[in-house]
Amino acid sequence: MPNPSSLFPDSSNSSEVQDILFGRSSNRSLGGNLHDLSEAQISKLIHLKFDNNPITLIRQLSSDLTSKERDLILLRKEKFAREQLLLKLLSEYGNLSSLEIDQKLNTLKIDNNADNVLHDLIESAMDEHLNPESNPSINNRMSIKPTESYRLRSKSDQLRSPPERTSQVTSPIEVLSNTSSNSTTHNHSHNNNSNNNNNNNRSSSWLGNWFNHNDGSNENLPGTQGRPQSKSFSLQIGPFGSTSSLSSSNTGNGVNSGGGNGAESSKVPVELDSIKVRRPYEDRTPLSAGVDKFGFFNDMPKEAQKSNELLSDEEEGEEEEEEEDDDYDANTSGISESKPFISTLVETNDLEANGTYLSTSKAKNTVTSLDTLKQLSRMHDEKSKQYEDEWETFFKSLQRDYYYSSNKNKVKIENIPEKDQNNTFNSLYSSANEIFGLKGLNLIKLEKIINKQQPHHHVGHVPLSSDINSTSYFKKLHKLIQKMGIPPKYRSQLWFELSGSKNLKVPGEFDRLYNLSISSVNDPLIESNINQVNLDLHRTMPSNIYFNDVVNSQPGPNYYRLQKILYAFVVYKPKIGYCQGMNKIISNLLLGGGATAASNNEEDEKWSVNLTEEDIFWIFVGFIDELLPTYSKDFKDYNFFDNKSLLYIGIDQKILSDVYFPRFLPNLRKHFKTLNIQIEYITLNWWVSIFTENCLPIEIWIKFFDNFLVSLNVEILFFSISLSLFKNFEKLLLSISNADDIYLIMKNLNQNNSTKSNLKYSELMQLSKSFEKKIDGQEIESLRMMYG
Amino acid sequence: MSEAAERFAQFKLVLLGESAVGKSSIVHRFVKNTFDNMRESTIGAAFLTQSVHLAESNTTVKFEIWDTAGQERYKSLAPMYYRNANAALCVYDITSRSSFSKAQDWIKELKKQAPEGIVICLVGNKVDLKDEREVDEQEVAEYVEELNQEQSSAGAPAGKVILAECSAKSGDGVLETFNVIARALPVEDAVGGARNRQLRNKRSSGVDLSRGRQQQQSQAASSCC
Ligand SMILES: Nc1nc2c(ncn2[C@@H]2O[C@H](COP(=O)(O)OP(=O)(O)OP(=O)(O)O)[C@@H](O)[C@H]2O)c(=O)[nH]1
Ligand SMILES: [Mg+2]
Repeated sequence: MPNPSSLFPDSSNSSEVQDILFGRSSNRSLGGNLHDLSEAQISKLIHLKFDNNPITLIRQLSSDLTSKERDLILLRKEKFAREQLLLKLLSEYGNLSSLEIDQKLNTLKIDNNADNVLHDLIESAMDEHLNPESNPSINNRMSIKPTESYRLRSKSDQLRSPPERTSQVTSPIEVLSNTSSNSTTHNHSHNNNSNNNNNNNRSSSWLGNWFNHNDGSNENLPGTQGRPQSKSFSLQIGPFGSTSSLSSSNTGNGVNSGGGNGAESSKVPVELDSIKVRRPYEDRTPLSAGVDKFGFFNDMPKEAQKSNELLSDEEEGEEEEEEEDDDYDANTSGISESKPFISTLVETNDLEANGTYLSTSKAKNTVTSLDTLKQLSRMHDEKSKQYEDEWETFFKSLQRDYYYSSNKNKVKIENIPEKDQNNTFNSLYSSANEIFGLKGLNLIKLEKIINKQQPHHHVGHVPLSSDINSTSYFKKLHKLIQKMGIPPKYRSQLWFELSGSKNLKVPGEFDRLYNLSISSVNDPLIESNINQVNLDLHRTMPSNIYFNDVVNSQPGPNYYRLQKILYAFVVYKPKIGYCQGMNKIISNLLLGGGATAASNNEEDEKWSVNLTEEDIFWIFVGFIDELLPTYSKDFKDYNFFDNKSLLYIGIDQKILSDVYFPRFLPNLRKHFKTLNIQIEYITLNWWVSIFTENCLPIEIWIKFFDNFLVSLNVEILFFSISLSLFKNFEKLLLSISNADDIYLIMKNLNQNNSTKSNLKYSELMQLSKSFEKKIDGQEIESLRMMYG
Repeated sequence: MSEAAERFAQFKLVLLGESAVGKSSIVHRFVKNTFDNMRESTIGAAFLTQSVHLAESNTTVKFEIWDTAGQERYKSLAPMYYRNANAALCVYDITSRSSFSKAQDWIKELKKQAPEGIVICLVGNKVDLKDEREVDEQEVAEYVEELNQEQSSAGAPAGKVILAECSAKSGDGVLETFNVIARALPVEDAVGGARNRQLRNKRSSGVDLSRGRQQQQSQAASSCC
């Protein structure tokens, strides 16, 4: 295990990396560091890219310069106008005199050491959240699977520069480079290796995948004879993303000229922001700069800023913990194999840097040594591989037992078709209709059958893995899910079964319901619900590219899915109807298990079934109908989302704040009491939105949803999660002596970076488990009677 | 209490009104001076704070703002938020008649249930959509006047409903509305000198479900030093 602190070298260290990327000269205005190339490299470049005609190169350089200058002029003008406006606003709304403003401004010092500035820019690029509207790079790098009739148009198609235009300056700071020296060839060999590895090891990094793509693309380049000889590298610095809006025709594709059409997707430049994207298992095409793996624009919502500032003030000391243990949340994107690119780079002074910057969510000190990163990513990969293996083993023994139980011992293990043996999960599905059943309860039935057959069980066959044998399948499933959630490749199948949707789903019913909802709305109840749905559709995940395609200023594909699901649901359960909060839950389900969660890895494609909106509908129905807590009063059962339930949910909050909070978190409760804080104002929102609203970040929520599906007492889980969230931030909260600030923090958990990065699935789960053990369902019942 | 010192008072303000009339948008215009279409609908209630400075009395008034969800079914939660509020913004959308009658309902409810002396402001939002106006300004003015007359004939002291229009989108009237509310609040009762400011910061006038009307009243009084 590497020492965490070594991951974050100080700035002096990282400026070394900078030098490699940007050249040692401070004048890097144009074409990256062409001037740093050896003469041989430059002539090679002229030969390859400019048809041996240096004049073309000069022309290109000059035009780059001009366009950059134009950008700067426009930028300066815009900044000036903004400044004027801000001054006006400050005096109008901030009640600040111009003297005060001047005083403040005078304290501002611009570092005139360009290296330092660059270093800061890189850091903020990784940290910074691009403003989607001002970032046209989204246009260029969108790569979303076509869905139904809907497809996000990639503007890069239209904007792609003609082949002879070899480089386009996309932003004030961009490194373009291209070399094709023979000396670099051997360095690519490991790249090809990793290509193979990638297929075997699904969890290997997407970054590696990207590079492999790039290799492939190079094969299409004329004159490369299938050997990756030329590489392109372009780097954009986040904060300048906005400035590139000034130049309309940039593609950001760097010097990768003459590429065949097949190489389109590979032309994505290495973007600091996209590297930040967390990728656990899925190998997906990097979406775009400024968009994370779930399609959210990396734009910190404005409401969070205040509490964010607040946190960074008060929490500085608590941020140094490393998160390398947390496999899912580790921000390590692996760099495929053997030699890291950067060292190659140092040796050969080759320019094919691969921009392998990573950032942690605590991206304060982020520019990292690639060796360490590589090591980290390998650890990460290993751990997730290990975890997948555990599931695989689990499925294997399940499969075997299903064969025995369903075939009354007639089938021997040798008779299981070979393909099924290799493809455990799928064969499970061909051999049995429902393996897990609602909440995984079928596993208990299976165990009973097996126990009866026990005497014959082992005869002549591979013994069951002791691990599985010792614990029951049912418990094992719980344990596995608690550990790290359901692996993405199994998720859609398991969601479908565990939620009971497999039984609920009636073929054609979804479409029928939807058609009903849009054709004959005579029922005023349904109508009013549909009206509310309509009010909320465009206000659901507006900062997610799948819901709000800002590029083409039209709704994204998930907008329509959400609409269909909600419309159908309102007709399916008119009594429950639509409740604000459902939109959030369905959106999370769509992002977590739906078509947009698709992987572009063929291997994964086989495993994971992309859930359609119809499937998500039934999963949602199953969740609402079978899994969420119900409230009973006067011998009537009320669904969690029933109008009447709100009262009882409120009572549960009272129980939480009056009984469990003081019992399990006495210090915090004392603190809150002196500040006159009532946690109901915080927790009620969590409950009615099932922890989606300003609460758990989606990647964590999905894993908790996995847990909801196998939980035998969801309300206890709700109580425990609520307590865990307070426990998780206990230290911080105890240090704050202002009630407003505490509300701001706890009511924006997934909205501001400092709290968000301090939410880890494994830690929360650990806490939650400990509370779960101490909470008794019977007691809740009697408390409800008391408070009701 | 020294005369020159800046005074500081904190009040709890709640926003009520039909879904999508623009409550959250108004709050965000007030707090961040922004308007964007990336706004999510509110679930439960959101919380924000913002201060205004009243130059004439050298007083800073800090609002704790509770922005509630407008969907009808969340209506039953509203008392939790207005029960100990000092001010309420009943928002309607000038392009929607139904939202106006909903706002009237809220005023009725507040008059019955909310703490006495709560400052109520009836705000018509989206005035930038003039062409789609469904709620007549004149009509609203008459309604409010009638309401305020009832009030004074009933012998109640303050408690006049404030009338305002604004546009969260253009920003017109938003800050003005909050300024008017700040002036209508019993700042004199609630403020202290600079010494009190610290104290206030520590001890939020916050939220207490159990605190009744009586205590509510004495709270304002007791916070005067
Ligand atoms: N034209 C115009 N549109 C506005 C204005 N204020 C809000 N809107 C729009 O009205 C819609 C609803 O605004 P919200 O602020 O979310 O409404 P809300 O009252 O908070 O709604 P709930 O959270 O559901 O209670 C959004 O699409 C806004 O963009 C305005 O002043 N002018
Ligand atoms: Mg709102």
